[in-house]
Amino acid sequence: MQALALPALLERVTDSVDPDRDLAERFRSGDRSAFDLLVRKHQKGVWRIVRRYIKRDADAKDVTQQVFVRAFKGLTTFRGAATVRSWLYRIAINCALSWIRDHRRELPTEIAEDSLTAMPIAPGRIANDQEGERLRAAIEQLPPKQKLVLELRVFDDLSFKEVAELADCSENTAKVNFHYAVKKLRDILGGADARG
Amino acid sequence: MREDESPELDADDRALVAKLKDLPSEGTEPNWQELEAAIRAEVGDQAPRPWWRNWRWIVPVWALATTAVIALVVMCSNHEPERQAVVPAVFDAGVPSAPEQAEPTTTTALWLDGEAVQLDDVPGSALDELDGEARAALTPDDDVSNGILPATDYGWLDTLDDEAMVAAEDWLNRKRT
Repeated sequence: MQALALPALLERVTDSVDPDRDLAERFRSGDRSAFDLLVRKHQKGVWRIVRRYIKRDADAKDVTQQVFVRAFKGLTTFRGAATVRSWLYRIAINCALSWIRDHRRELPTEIAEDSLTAMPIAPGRIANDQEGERLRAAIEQLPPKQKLVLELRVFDDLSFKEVAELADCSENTAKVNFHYAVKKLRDILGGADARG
Repeated sequence: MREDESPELDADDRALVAKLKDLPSEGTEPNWQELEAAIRAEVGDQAPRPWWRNWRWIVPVWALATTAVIALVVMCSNHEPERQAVVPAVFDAGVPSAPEQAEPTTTTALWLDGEAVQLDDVPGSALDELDGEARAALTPDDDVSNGILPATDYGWLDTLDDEAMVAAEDWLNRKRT
């Protein structure tokens, strides 16, 4: 195996820790286009997180935009303690919770409006959607911490280290929470099956 | 299995996780290009500068100001007059007072022939000689030589009466002619 020079080795290690560090550095040194690349890379993930909290597409899109605006302003002071992705996701969660707090009174109406304008579901997808709805309903019954850990791990495909950063806990705690979340989910789904 | 994957999950748990992963995301995804353009339009074309970059000038200015202040303090402390030690007045009848200090000696200078001469530096003999010459020059010549009255004392003029004055003036006129 070819020996690597130390700087190259360090660079490889850093990249494996956070592949977006280079983009963040470029942006900090004044390269505006680096931010566009970050947006392109993470807008889908950010939107998915926001959309789990905010149930209306238009609002989720607005909040996603707000997340990146906030990231644009804050990226110059980003010190790299976490990965850029988990830092963005943290902003996304904060923005979504903040939005929910600000629009608490409007939410029931908006959800109702959303259901009226929703696209009709194709007959072939009904079974899958029913199974999906059943799973989602089960997830909603999890305790908040377990729900957060499970969603970040399963839907956002984050490492346990990143999940721990976002859930404000240790990596081991995140693993334990994930473990209990899956067990509890099985219990809920099993109980529902038994009832069904 | 991923390096950080939880190892405690059994096969059923893993199947459930796989099922969850296959779930489609909630809602309808937005137009990503549109969202990207909206974000770009809102944040602008310039990358923001960190706050400390706007204050970079403060470091050299602060260092300069500090140096100036230190220099000023040092200079002022050099020019400050020495403080007199305040000695409390203590009167003790049993202790004899200190003898009075002798007055400082004064030197007398004389401007002589274009140069300053310190009289203290001049030998005594030279002063005596000078003194003798000066005395000789200042001594009134009491002798009436060549019929001329001594110039040092004109008090006798007051004793002359009018006739004598007229006679003296006539004599002087004659002498002049």
